Amino acid sequence: VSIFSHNKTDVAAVYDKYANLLYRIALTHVLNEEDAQDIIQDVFAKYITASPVFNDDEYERAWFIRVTVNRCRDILRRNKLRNHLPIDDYTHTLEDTSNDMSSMRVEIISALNNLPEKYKAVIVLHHFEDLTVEQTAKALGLSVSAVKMRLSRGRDLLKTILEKEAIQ
Amino acid sequence: MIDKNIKSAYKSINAPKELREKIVALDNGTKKQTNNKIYLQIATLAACFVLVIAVFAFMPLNRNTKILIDGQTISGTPIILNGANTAQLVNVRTQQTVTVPISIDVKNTTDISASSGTLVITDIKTGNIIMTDTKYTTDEKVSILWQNDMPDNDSVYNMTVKTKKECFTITLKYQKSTDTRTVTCTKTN
Repeated sequence: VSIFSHNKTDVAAVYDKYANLLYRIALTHVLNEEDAQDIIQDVFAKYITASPVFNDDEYERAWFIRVTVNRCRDILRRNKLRNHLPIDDYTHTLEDTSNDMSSMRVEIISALNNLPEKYKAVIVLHHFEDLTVEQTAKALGLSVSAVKMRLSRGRDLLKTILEKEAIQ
Repeated sequence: MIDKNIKSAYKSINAPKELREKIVALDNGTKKQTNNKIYLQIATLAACFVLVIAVFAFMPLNRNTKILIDGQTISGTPIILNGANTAQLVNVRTQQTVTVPISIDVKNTTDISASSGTLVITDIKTGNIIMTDTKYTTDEKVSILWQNDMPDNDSVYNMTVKTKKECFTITLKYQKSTDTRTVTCTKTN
């Protein structure tokens, strides 16, 4: 760290801006609150130590999302031999305001959990986090056409999953 | 497929409040660590600065040109070339010469010149004769044999050792009546 390095951005402000978004992305990937929190800590630790400089907010958000998704993949690889925490365990830890909302969250997380990872990320970012196809492509380091293809296939899969869950 | 309720349920998932405290603490810890690193860097720089100053302060002492005859520093006080130095009296082609062995330890480029006689410049490490001339420029320690013809009467010979900052004049005096040869060295500036 140079003596003459620029002043750091207020990390608390940046956290407030992205924490929920990143936490949701992490949680939908790893399905475990502790792992999701660890991921967020790792991402911000990287942000604090690397002090990256961004041209605009979009680049900043894309950087955070990409680092989070990559970290999620690392955690998933690490836990490959370990079974994921059952979805019921996730529901126990939810701080909730309404039971309906809680059960709906569990349904969403459960449905997303059944999606292959490569579809999960694009579906979450585009359909749940309202990123455009271009923004999703930039955040995941993919081409626009690849994102469109994954969205199409992911949607079909998700639809099938949700229909099955509705029948059950 | 993904209606407003589903999306709002998804968006209601928020990061736990205690996580914010952890991140802020992490940031403060890093800042503290960064400050420590800065202090360490400043201390290192200060130590280097002091070291450089100390070296520069002592350098002029080391830079002084040392002029010696047989290991003896010569100054304004005359050194009599005594019996031991009579060995310096040699016959060269039947012409007697008086030879003064001078060792000059220099740190910078130094011009050495003699008003008369010749300078036999010898490599101090190998003892090999480098050259014979009336002047010589060196930037390291050299051994010189200053050879003059034995005069018939009282004579004075001068040799100049000049650096950028200093100038020395080595004077060889011959007194016929007592048959003594004395060497003095004076700093002229």
